[in-house]
Amino acid sequence: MNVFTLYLLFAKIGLFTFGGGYAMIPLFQDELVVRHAFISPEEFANMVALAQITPGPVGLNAATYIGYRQMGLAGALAGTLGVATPSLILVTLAAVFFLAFRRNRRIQDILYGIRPATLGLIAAAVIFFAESSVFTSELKGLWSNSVPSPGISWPAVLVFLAALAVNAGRKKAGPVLTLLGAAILGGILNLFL
Amino acid sequence: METPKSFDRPRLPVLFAVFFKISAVTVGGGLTMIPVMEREFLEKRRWLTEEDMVDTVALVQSMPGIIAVNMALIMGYRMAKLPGAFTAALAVILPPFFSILIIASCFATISGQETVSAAFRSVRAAVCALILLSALKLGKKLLKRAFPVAVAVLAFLVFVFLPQVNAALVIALAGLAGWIVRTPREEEEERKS
Repeated sequence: MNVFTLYLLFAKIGLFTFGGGYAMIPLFQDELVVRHAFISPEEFANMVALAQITPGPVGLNAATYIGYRQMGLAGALAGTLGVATPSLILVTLAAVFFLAFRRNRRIQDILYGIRPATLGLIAAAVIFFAESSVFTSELKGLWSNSVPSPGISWPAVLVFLAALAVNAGRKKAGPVLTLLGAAILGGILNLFL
Repeated sequence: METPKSFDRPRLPVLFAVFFKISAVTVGGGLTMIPVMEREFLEKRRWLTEEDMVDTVALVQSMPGIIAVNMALIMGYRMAKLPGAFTAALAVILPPFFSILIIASCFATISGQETVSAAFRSVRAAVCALILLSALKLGKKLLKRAFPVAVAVLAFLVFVFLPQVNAALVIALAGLAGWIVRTPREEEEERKS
């Protein structure tokens, strides 16, 4: 793996992410955690969490972080530029042909298929995060004998429910307060449980 | 849709400074930037019209890549053509790039301690709750017909049970399926209204 292949890898992720944010998680995970094992599932999950409480978009933050961990400053640059390159080309073109693009029937048809697939990605991200928080190992253990059955982390269940409660209503706590609150609550629960 | 004459044309350094500031203060990125951008570009500076804003948000969600970068490219282009697009994109990328570099270099030293890892497990549980809520919200909007339901369920199952299948391939196939099935007439009417 050199800086250029790292760049291409992130460009691929950037090209296939629609809707941004959470929909990027399984794509990142697929390439960086499963295929190339750059980063452990747990560190990846921590990084996504950190990316939400620091300024900037999650996708960019993740690319910078993982690039840096792989190859230092050059890697951080390659990751950031890579994930932004498809946008720089395609979106600039779209901006130039703004109206023609929006009204194109065939493009709308393709998106009619891609949007629900993006929802599938986001739902898969829920499972990924559950496996590294509420459950103590992969859910695969429920039906496969090769992986241990998952245990449940009760403090994490408590935090999960609390986070749902403060964000489900009309008045939402928002990600920053929720995640900071979760960190404090988790630290305190750890002292008593 | 030309920018009306009464609207100001921003100078590039000012454009850079404003996008830089927005990127540095918005945590979580993506669509959370919209209200900040509205205040800055519509109310305070009159660089864009209400209509520009609505069209941009719609277009951004149908393009691959990172939402914040895409928004910067399109808005920058509408304010000051190609130099505007690239200036805005660079300004959005820089703040998270530097903040993540700092975090990445101290992250390794704090992780590993027991209280810290308990706090992180809680944060991951909270992220799981946040993603679940956003999946539910998106699902309510998208899953009104058999086709999107089928695509979403299939995509979800593949992402969770067949991790060896490339996620990008699933997105491409979903786009192809949309091309073949085509957007139903009623859906098109809904989008226009």
